[in-house]
Amino acid sequence: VNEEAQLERGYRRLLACYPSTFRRAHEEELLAVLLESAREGQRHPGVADAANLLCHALRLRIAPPRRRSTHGVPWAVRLMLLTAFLNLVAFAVVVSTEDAVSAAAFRGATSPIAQPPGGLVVLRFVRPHLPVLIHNLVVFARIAAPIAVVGWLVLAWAAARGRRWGRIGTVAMFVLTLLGLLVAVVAGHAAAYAAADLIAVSAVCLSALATTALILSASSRADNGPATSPRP
Amino acid sequence: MQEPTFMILTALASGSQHGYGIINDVSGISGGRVKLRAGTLYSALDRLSADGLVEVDREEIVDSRLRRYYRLTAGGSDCLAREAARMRATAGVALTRLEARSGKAGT
Repeated sequence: VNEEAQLERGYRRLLACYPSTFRRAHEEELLAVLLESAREGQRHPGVADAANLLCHALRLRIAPPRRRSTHGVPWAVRLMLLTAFLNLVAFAVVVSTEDAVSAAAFRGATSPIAQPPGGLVVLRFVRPHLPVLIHNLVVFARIAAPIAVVGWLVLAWAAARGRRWGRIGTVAMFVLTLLGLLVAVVAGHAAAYAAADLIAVSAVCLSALATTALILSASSRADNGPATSPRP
Repeated sequence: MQEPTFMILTALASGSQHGYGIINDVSGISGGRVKLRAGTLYSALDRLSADGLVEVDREEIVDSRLRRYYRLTAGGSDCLAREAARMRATAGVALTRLEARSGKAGT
C-alpha cells in the first residue's frame, strides 16, 4: 500500500504537467489505468510511461486540440456560393455603370466646384488624374470580378471537401475583397464612383467577412473526407 | 487515421470498455504488436470525444478508483467503417499486385 502511494505521487507529479482542462477531465481515470498497469511492488513511474506522459502533456500545451464544431462548414460553403454570386452581380454593376462613372470622374477632374471641402488631402493631388485612375480601376474590376467568382467557387469546393488550404484561401480572398472595398470607398469619396458600385462591393465584402468568420470557427480537420465527418 | 486511433475505435466496436480494458484489447487484437501507453490512450480518447466519435458510457468506482467506460458514437462507427473499407481496398490492391508479380516470376 505504501508502495502504491509512492507510485501514485510519482504519477501525479507527471500528470501535473498536463493542462488543467485535460486534468479535470481525465486525471483520475488516467491515474487508475497507470496504477492498474503497474508491476507488483513498483515504486516509481517507468521511464517509458514517464516519457510518454511528458510527451503528450507537452504536445497538448504546445498545440491544444481545437474544439471546433463541423456544423458551420455547410453554411460556409453556401455563403461562399453567395459571395461568388454577389461578385457576379458586382461585375454586372461595374460594367453597367462604367459610362456614368467615367463621366463623373471627368467632371470631378475638370470642375473646381466639385472639390469636397473636407476631402482627403491626397485626393486634391489625385483629382486631375481621376479619369485615368477610375478608368484603370474599372478595367481592373472587370478583370478581377470574374476571377473572384471562380476563386470563391473553388474555395466552396475545397471547404466542402474539408481541404485545409481552403481556410488560408478564404482569408486571402477576404483580404483582397476588403482592399477592393477600400479602393472603391476612396474612389467614391472623390464623387466619381456610382453608389450602386459601392453597395455591390460592400455586399460582397460583408458576405466574404461572414464566410471567413464561419470557416475559421468551423472545423476542416478532415483531410480527405467530407468535412462533416472528422477523421482524427 | 493513425494506427492507435484505429485500434481504439476497433476495440470499442464490440461494446463499451474502460481505459485498461482498451489497452488489453488493443494488445490482443494486434497480437501483442501495438502496446498502447496510458498517455497515448487518453490523448486519443480526449480528441475522439471532442470530435464526437466516442462518448462516455458510464462510470464506476472500483477500489476507490474512477473507472470510466467509453463507447462508439454513430459517427465513430461510420468513421471506423470508412477507414476499414479504405484499408481493405488498399490491401486488396497490394495482394493483387503481389499475385501478378509472383505469377510473372513463375513463368
